[in-house]
Amino acid sequence: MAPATRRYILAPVQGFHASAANAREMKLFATLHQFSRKHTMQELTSSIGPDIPMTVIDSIGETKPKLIECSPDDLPALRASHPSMRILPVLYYQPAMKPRAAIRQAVGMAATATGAVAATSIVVQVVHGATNTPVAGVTVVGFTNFATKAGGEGVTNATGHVSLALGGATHVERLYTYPPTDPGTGLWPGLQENVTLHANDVIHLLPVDLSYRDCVRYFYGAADLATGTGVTVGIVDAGVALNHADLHVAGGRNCVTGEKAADFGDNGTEGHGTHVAGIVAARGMPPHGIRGIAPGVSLRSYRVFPQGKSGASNYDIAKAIDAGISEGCTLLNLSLGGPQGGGSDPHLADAIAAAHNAGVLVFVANGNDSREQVTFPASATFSQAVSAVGRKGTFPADTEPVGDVLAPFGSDAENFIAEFSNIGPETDFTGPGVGVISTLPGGYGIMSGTSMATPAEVGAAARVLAAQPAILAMPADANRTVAMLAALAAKTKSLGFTPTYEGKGMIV
Amino acid sequence: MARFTLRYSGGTAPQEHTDLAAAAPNVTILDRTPKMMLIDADEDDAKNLASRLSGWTLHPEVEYQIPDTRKRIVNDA
Repeated sequence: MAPATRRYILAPVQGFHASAANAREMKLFATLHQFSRKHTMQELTSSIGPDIPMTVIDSIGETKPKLIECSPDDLPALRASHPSMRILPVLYYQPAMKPRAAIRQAVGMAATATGAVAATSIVVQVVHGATNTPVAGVTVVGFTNFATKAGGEGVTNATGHVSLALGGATHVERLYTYPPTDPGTGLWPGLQENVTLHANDVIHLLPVDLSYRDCVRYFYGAADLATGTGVTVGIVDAGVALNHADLHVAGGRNCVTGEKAADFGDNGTEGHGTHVAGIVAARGMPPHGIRGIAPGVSLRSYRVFPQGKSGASNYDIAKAIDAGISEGCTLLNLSLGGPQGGGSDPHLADAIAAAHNAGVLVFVANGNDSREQVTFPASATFSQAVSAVGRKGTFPADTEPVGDVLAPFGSDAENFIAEFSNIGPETDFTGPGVGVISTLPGGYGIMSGTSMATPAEVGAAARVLAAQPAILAMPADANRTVAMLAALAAKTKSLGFTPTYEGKGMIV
Repeated sequence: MARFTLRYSGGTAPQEHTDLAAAAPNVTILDRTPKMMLIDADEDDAKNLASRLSGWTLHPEVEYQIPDTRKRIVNDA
């Protein structure tokens, strides 16, 4: 059965007219204008991309936007072959009617109908799996009903104890244990399924072996310290721990309004930026350290999350992108995103478009809302949106990544798109992001997410581009961006998922 | 009062534009770069300022999160 088609608007990189200075764009728009007169499915041919079947429904003019209809599955190929073009969704507006009031079934109502439920708690203890010493600060989440997200949670105290208010229940469908990540404890987050809890049960957390082959090391192996040399990577995030032995931060800027520009180190929340940076550029050696995918890059930190806080302003993010452009970044990593269903953000979209026009690629995490739509800014026209893939056998039993295994599986059935990963036609690449070992302030630890998949693809992109000095030497403009994307497309391999899940695939 | 972003579509914004913004009534400039400003103002005052700045676009400030994968209890009342 032929895939369902949808309508999109193809627009020039800027403004309403294709630029006469961009011969390739002019030729494309003229060709599509001719298609519009045929009203039948045509195949868009490209010297650097595959044939892409589409119907051109309408053309405003030879050099102006086109209304096309094609399969969403073909969008990644279309973007990869014609990166200096905006592919915009067709939006339909509705009358501004007041929504009808609706009844919502609340859990509390059911509880009332069956009588009050005693808030009985169960106390458990979390200890280090190797030393049996108590671990403080572990978030323990017990789901009595995982589908409805019902249960109890708490954080362990100095003796490793936590009280879970489970309403009298003792059976939990899933019991998650999340060790603190700032500072890093070097412990795997745990997951036990279908367990009956007893008072004073002891939960053991497995220590991380830095020699363990996680999904990043499975797909990308070990890199020598020179890999990535010549490429500058900017991490737009919560700052990077500047004193970590495995990381060398060449520079950066704190872009948070009201804070000191020179304070681009870790912001004291969860060590997220430090973990992201290590995936790209850690320079340690197992078993005493870890090695990133492209340790030879020049690493820069652009902090956008305020000290001790987890929300970043679009203004500060745009400022970070502008700083990355002006300070010579080749690649920018944005492992952040807006809420599901959030609207567009022209201010940030403009900044990402400016990066495109300045020869800088911006990789953005798809978001972790469990197969929901790609969040903004990953969904922005000129973002390189990244989903997360995992691989069975790259995480131990009874650890949190076990819960992330879900179909579809790839052409190699050990590979799967992570349960948490957002998907959609905006996806450009997929990267390893399930149970990733990396640097944290003061140590190491495990994180999962499209946040981890994104720096994996940034690191892989750095490897590819480091071998293309002629491209890196091009003037920093949109032509360099197009050339970089073409080089990446040539080194991108499908893992056997549909484009909605993996885009063009994984950079290898 | 709310926070708004202003972004200049060209390269470096003209000095007279930033001077005009600095002198605008009921508008506080929280931060500025060669092509952006973050302001605190009522929406009408922000729009009024933007209308006087050729080449600038005005948008509300938006906050983004680190996309978390931790599972959480949902206490639905």
